[in-house]
Amino acid sequence: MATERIRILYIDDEVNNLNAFRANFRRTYEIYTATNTLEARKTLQSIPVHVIIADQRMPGTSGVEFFNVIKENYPDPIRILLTGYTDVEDLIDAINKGQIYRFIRKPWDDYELQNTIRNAYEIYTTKKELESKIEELEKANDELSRFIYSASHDLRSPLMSVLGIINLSRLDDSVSDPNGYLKMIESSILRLDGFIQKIIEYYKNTKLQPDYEKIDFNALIYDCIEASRRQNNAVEFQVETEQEGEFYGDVFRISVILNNLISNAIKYQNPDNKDPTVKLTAQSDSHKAVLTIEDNGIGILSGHLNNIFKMFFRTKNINKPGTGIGLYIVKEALTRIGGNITVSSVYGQGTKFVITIPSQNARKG
Amino acid sequence: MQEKAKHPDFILIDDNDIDLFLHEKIIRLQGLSDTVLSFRSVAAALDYFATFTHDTDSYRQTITLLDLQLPEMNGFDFLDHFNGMPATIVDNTRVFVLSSTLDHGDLSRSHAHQLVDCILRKPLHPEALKQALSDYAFV
Repeated sequence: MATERIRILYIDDEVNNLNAFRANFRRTYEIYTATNTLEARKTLQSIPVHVIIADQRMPGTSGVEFFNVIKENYPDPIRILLTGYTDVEDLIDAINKGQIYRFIRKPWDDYELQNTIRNAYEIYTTKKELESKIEELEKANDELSRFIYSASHDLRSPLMSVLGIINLSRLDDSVSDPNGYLKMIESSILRLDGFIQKIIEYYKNTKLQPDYEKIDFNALIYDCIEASRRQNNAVEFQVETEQEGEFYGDVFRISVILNNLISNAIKYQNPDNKDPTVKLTAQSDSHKAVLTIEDNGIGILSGHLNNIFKMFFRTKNINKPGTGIGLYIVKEALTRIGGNITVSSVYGQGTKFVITIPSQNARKG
Repeated sequence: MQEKAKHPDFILIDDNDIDLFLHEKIIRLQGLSDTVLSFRSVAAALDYFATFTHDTDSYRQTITLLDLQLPEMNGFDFLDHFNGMPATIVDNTRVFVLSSTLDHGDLSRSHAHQLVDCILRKPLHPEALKQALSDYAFV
């Protein structure tokens, strides 16, 4: 920016003014002058100027009219109006139509004009930088979207082939596997796939705008249980819902939250437990919903409770490694919809999560 | 008259050789069909269908397992072109989308498509395929 000279186009029908301006500023700026708007437009076509100064009173087209016409095709240069008169009509016109940055009264004060030009140029460059930053961000965003799209296919597709081969080997009983290696391969593949799915889920959560609709918690909870139940068929589910009035919420994010918490409640059961149970309750009205998910599983060490919502936090002393991202997604999803979550747990006895979500009744319809 | 075969023919469209192999194996092992034709591109599959356009009577009932993400023409391109085939061919074909995608857009587009009977997920489970056949096969 320091090396670039400020390019100014000055339009005035009085040649004396143009000459005076040029004489004063030619060492400081790169100056282009025009005595009429036709000439000025020719300059604009070939020179990317930063600042345009126009006299208001010119025969034919006024300065304001000129700015109004060119701002369609040349929106970037900062526009300064020079006027010998302070005609209120002109001022109103200028503001409403011409989008003028500053007025300078004739005869101008060199110091004031110079300051104005410098400020105008700063605005010009800031605007340009902002535009290029936005462009960079849009590009990065777009690349991320494409990455996620390909992750959802190109990364998963070979994994699904491996699972298919394992299934086939069982179907035709063609592989002798006394040590259960195929089972190990399968469980590793499923873990990797689970991780990919979580990453996609996390990304969708940050990217999608919330979409609010009426929620039937009873149905939603049973849908989510259905999605996770087969992880461990021994687990018994108890569901209690109480719904007063209509609750509006983001089904995608609330499902994500429930799916993760239910899946955890199943996963972190004690294998020795005779009757593993997960209890879910939902109380909702037109203002908010309070959901609880309570299990009688292995529980969480109190020292870990503060960390469980952090990304990639995992406890070490369990034989069921997680991805370390599920609860982080829960927390992020709740933040997006203005909800919050608390957890209480007794190590060895179970864990209870309580979630509060505000209803979005104002947005219905 | 259509030749009434005991089993429908199967057409597999997928760019992944291992998946083609897997799916053909599953179909044969389960005794779902004796005729399984594999195509590694949408264009090749469309060429095959096109051979029947002047002799639609010889076209046998067919189940098509269609992958969505293929290079050049994808599954949706296939559906668009297939839609332009003679009615006898279209009416005697069932299309099951078979994909590993989790992309919501692709899934809902498939779901909404008039020619798609159902969506199956990879890895293909024999039970899921049998269920789809009993739900959507020719009556």
